[in-house]
Amino acid sequence: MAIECLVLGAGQEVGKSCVVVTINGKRIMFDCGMHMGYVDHRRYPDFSLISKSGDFDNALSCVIITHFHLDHIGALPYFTEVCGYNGPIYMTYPTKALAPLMLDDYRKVMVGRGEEQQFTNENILNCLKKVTAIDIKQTVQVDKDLQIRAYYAGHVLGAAMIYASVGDAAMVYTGDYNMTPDRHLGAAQIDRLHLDLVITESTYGKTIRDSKYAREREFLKAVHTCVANGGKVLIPTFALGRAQELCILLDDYWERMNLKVPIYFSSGLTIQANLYYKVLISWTSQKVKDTYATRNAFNFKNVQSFERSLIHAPGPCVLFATPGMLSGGFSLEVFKHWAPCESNLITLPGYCVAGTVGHKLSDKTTKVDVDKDTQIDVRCKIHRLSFSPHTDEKGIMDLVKFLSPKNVILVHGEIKNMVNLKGRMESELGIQCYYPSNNETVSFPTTHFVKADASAAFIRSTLTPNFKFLKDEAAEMAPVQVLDERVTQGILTMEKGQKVKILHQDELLATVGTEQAEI
Amino acid sequence: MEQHLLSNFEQILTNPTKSSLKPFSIARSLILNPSTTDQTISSVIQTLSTNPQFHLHHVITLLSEIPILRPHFSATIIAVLRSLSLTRPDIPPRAAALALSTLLSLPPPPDSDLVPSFSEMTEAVFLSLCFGSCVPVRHRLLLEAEKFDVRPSILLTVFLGFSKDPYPYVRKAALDGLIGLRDRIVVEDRGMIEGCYLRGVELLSDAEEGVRCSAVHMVSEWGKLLVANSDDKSKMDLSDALFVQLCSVVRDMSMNVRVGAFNALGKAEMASQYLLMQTLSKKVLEENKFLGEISGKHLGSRALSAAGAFLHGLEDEFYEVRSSACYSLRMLAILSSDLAEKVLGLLMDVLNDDSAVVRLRALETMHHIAVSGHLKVQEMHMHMFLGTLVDMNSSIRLTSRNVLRLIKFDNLPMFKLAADSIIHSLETYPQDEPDVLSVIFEIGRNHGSFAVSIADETFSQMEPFSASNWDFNSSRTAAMLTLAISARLSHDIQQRLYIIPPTIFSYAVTMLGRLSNGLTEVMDRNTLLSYLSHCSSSTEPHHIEAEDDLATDFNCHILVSHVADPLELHDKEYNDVKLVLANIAEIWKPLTKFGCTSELLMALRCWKEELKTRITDSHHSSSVLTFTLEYIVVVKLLSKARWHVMRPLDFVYNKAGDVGYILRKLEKKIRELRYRFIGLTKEEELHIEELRLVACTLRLSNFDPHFHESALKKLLIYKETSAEHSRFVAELMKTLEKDESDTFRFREPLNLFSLKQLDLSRNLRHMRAEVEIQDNDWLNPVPFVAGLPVGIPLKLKLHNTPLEAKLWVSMSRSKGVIHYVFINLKEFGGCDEMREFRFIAPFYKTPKVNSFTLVLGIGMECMCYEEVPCFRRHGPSHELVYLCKEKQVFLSSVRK
Repeated sequence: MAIECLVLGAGQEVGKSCVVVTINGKRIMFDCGMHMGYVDHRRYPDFSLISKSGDFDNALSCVIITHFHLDHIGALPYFTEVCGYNGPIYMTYPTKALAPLMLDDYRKVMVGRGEEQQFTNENILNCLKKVTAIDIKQTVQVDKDLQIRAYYAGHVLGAAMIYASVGDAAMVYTGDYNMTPDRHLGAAQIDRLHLDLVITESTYGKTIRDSKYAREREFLKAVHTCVANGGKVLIPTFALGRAQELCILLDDYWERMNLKVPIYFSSGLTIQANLYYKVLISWTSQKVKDTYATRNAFNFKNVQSFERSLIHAPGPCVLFATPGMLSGGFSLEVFKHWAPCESNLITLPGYCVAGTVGHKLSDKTTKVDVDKDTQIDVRCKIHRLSFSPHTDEKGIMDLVKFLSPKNVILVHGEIKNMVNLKGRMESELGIQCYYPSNNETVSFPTTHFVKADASAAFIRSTLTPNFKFLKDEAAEMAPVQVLDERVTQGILTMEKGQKVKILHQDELLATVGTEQAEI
Repeated sequence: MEQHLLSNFEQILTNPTKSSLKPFSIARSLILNPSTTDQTISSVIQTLSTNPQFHLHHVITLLSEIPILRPHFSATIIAVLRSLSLTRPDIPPRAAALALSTLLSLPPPPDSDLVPSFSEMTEAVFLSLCFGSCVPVRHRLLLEAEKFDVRPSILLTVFLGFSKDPYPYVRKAALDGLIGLRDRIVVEDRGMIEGCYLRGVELLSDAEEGVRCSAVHMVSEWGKLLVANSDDKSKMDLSDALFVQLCSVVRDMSMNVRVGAFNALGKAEMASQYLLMQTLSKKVLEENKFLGEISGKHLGSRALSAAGAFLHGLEDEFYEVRSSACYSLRMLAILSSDLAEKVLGLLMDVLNDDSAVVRLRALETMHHIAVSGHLKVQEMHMHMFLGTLVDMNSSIRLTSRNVLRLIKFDNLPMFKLAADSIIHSLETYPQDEPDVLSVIFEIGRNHGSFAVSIADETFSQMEPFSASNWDFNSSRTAAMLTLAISARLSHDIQQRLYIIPPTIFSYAVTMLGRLSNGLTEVMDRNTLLSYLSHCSSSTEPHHIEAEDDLATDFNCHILVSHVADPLELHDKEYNDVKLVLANIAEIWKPLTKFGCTSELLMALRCWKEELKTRITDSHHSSSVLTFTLEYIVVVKLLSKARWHVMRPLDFVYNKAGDVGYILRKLEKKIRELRYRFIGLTKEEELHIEELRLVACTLRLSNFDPHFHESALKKLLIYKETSAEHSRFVAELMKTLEKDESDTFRFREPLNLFSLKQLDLSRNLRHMRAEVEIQDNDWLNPVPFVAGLPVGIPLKLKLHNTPLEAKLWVSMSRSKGVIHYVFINLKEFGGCDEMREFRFIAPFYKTPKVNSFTLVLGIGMECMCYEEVPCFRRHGPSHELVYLCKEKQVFLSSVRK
């Protein structure tokens, strides 16, 4: 009996998360993401490793998607509609609701860039028809042996950590998670479980962030100073997640400071997404849940929608534009216009994928090649956002310590982070840790319980407490201990041709047929 | 119907073939029906107890219900339940447990000889049920373990054992039991304590939330016990270990566990500085800095567990946790100013929290820091902090203002910012006006120079001509005026000399009502008015005189009394006093002559009552008034004593004791009149001396064996110095010269005595002392070790005591043995009018008892009196007058 873990994506890198785990013969695919940095075959996981013949329905018991980010769900329509997987797919309700928005937006961006279209809108809709939605802490019996359960992960709306168990073996796949709550989402929350394996993300495996209050204060100060001096603030974000978080933060601040500078949302997508947020209140943070009866936190008072003509309008403003990391689309367009002006401010997310403009800006260069023909002279101020929906090193360690599994596999992070985490986990927690690269397989044995009959006397004895007193001055443990010895006193007997049986110690003598002998 | 049901019930129950629940439901309906007769109930009990073979559980349930509804059946039920032997294996455990708890809940029967065997029985039943296989019973018994008479030593073992039970509810109950047990018994075996503590630590990682919650509580309690029971060397290490254990659970996934952890952290008693610093940073701090402080063995792992514990708490999703974390930060903040500064930085960010509960808690913690003297507000904090002054929530505003009272501002811009913010908050929330004004007054007094410059800036723009533009209804004006007043009364003496145009004070008079509302705690309306009018009337640039009026003392009350008492009495009061004194002199002679003592006493009493109504505030009653009241008492006593001595001889009545008491009291009162008032004129002194002579003479004529003529002669020598003698004194001298031994020879001079009118001057000052024994009552005694001296901390306030006064603290445990301690006034500051200081009075002869009380008083030597010849070696050489009421001090011996 063993667990086998095949990492198809996000092994020692960030992007195209996809891990196929075989537990006691059941194969589960966790996440089915795509890589934003590539446009060739490397953008999808190598599905052929699952089944040479392409018969995925028999090769996989189910596919589970943790959340709606493209690097976790982007390859799903391709896998189901192009590769032909027809088996069960599980994701949480918000993920199911928001996934088509994300996928379709991405498809449009691809088309806009003149790339080959990988899947159509119809493909997306068909794909989502095969999805079964699950709720937090709902246990789903996928088949006779396989059980899965979702836990709250924080990260984005509807993000989940997945617990899966087959027989006696159990594991948790965390997906992306956040151990500290932010304004609109709560912190990850899970039970103490007996686990053989935890597969965790390690995006910030070498960073320890201090209080979020300081980060919020700095961001607000930067934005406030900029608009107070008449500058324009560009905040490139993904439509879902950080956009709402920052917007709640700014909206609160505007209210408190009584500011009148307009805040814009660039696309209809974000406004549509806000609608979903308003409906899916039960997936948000405790604060939003507590106050929503009086006022829905996603009813932003100061937010308006943006029109293209406003790019050149005079006066200060704050603009949320998609996509984040300035990888193209509207945010890049606005960037081209606003970056050369000194009074403006661009905020960049903490992590930018290599190859994007956002990544290039990180290197403190003043001249940036936006595309083949254009070079932009960046004179505006740049504020690095350290709001991240990912947990930091301490959070990862805390979670692993809380769960105390037998093994840990690190995915979704850079190798240097993984090395650091592996070192800490093995030395501090004594937990075996692995970080396989893409297309590599790790396997290890699992817990296996043997069923045995129990004699009546043994059952009786286990029901009745049986105290034992220890007094051991030498031991490092407590000098005085009172233990309940009842369970440890059985004796396992294996007779030929019969089932394994546990007897009470008194019975053994009778069975063996000897008197008690002192040795 | 009742009879029918009863017979039905009995019939079914006695029929052994059938086994159904029907008879029990019938019985229950009979029991529950309030109109069922007692007779029926008795027969039901009878039937139930004779047929216990079926459904014993139901039988016991029914029996237990009876005494709840019908208490008079308790005795019967107890007898029935006891007759069942509960340890029998065939009794279902639930039934046995129910019977046991019913037995314990009922009042014990009067025949108390049964009790010992009974409690032994309970213990046996309790243990056998606990160790039985029925889990719910085990759980229930553990929960209610306190009720059963089980020896604590056994209970402790039982709890400890069951903390490893496979059933989480049993584990939780066992842990809760251990927590409860810690309060009730004293465990001295260190091994046992450590065993319990480590079991708790083990259960911190239990799979069940409820168990972890209890474990946190239990670890905190038993950990403290363990620390207290260890030697000094390992104390620090153990308390660090405890602190780290608690820190390690603040990242638990369950909200309740986290709240419990922070509550426990708030109660932690000590931890090393390094760990505390670490709890405020998620990054592991540099170890080198602290290596000297603690042993390196656990350093790394401990730092990791403690890292950022409080940060996590403050950014928690649940407001319960955040508020609990704010609370627990207090413990850190009072330890050192370094920590306090870091904590303050964090708390300032918390003020941005969306939950009012958390914001309030953060402010309360800040207040706590301020009280402990570690509050250093920086400029970057001001914006956040001052924001809370205009919070929607009134209690947050109040707490925020209370913090503001204690803040020390380093520079003018910060002070100005604060003043502007609080005035802004006053404009937004006018309902807070009284409190806001009092805050402005206080911060103004504490920062005199800043207040002056702001007031100056504001009022310099205000020309006399444009004053009409001023809105004298606005809160802003009220606030600015308060600031100006406070600047004038600043603690900083330099600032008081600063000139603020008197016109400002005259404007302030127009807002008297509003201002005095805010300053009620500091001064009353009249004081404020007289102060304002004083300040506004003097137009000269330097009011040296006025400045002298202001007390040099920090105490506001004193300041007030000086400004307010435009030296002592208003004329009306003085006239009243004069009138009373004249009346006394007028009626005394005729009334005593004709023996109308009771009429005289009545008149005196009436005057006394009338004068008493003049006393508005007992603390600041004027000295003249006090003197007059005392004088009336003296006249009363004199009249009484005279009547006793002078009436026709009647040996049955004339008991020396009666008069003796009055005479002693009279002498004491005269002494007080003579020595507790300073500023007496020569005439007044003579008047009192004469009264004293009268008292002595009365004593001599009353066969006092302890009193000799020689004493009186000594008095007369003093008397001779005065110019003219009254008829009484002349006659008395003559009598003494005759050298007779007739006790009636003094009657003649006494008959000649008449009370003269006393012309009282206004310049009297009453000496008095206020003694406060800090934190001492019968619940909080001063600890002492028998045979060793004990210091009694006193807070003394002396009014009108000249520097040369010889003051003694007298302490007596039993009558007669008085122990004196001298107070050298030269060692303490203050002026004659008012001295305030702390004094530790040593008491040497502590007896070998568990506790005792001392009677403590402050006495002053009467320097003019003759020396007491054989006075104690260490003690006053003259008679004492007491300046305050006697106080009781409670002392209790230190337990080993």
